Amino acid sequence: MSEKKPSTMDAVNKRLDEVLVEFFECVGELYQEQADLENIMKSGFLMMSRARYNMGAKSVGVSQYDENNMKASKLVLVTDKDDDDYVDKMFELVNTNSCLDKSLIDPVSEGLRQRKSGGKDNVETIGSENVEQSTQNNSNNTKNYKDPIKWFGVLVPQSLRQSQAYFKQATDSVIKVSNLKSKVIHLKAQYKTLKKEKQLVTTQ
Amino acid sequence: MAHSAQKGRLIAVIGDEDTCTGFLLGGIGELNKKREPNFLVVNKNTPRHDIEEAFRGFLKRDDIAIVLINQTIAEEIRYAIDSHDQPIPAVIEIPSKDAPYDASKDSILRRAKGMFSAEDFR
Repeated sequence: MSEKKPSTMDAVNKRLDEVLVEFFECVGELYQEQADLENIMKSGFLMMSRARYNMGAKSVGVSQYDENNMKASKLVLVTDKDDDDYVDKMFELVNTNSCLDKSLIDPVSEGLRQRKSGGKDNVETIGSENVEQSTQNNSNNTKNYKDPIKWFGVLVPQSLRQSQAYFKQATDSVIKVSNLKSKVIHLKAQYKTLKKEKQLVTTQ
Repeated sequence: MAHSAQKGRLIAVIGDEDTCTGFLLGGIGELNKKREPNFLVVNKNTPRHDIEEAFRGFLKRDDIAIVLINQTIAEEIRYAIDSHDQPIPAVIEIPSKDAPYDASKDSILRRAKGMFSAEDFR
């Protein structure tokens, strides 16, 4: 009996170590991602303040929300990830209006659009390609979906567009944080079960 | 990996004016068929009861996958957040304009710390 014990005990101990190492790696990643999220949000807040400075104090706020045409362009798909006997929830972000987002991906390059370096024809072709793409991809969505930035006016300052881009990045970061937190909870549960298993082995 | 729900779910926000405005600009805002929003703008006059009610309302809704909440507001309804132990919706604490994120206050990380309590080593 005592000869058989070490093999199972070793296996449980090894698994416990693995889970613990994975747990700490995960917590490390989580801290990193939280710090990234904080930096992105900080930049977003700064840009929003700049926009408010340009547009007036009351111009960027709750009173401007258009609740009649509010439709989410970012949704979350929840998937089950089966790992051993545990079921883990994973989050995945989906854009319902992918082509509209393209214009706002890069907050810096949004400002000047090849006004000096490229020729006139070049600029025109780039512009027309984008228009074609957007009309082909989601002609229906563009009708239903109204970019939230339009709540604040048609000619909004560049800083508000940059703020929007930062908050889109923040949404992606939030998904990563959610996945890491879900993994941390999952590893904690796994660790507890292994601990019980170890206790069971030692009492036998 | 299998999709448990093909329909996309929403991200809800409970936060100050800037946090809500920012995330709504990011494109997460939506009103459901009952015209209930997936966000709550909290100011200094918002009673704790309203925040808690909105939070519990978001937890009950099956079209919400993630609830974002400013950590400063989370502190006010900590008991409600601590009592939520379901994986969905996930409650994520985020920094606000005035206060940075403090990991030691985070419910999930505090729970994870509990993993190494003295009871476990008995």
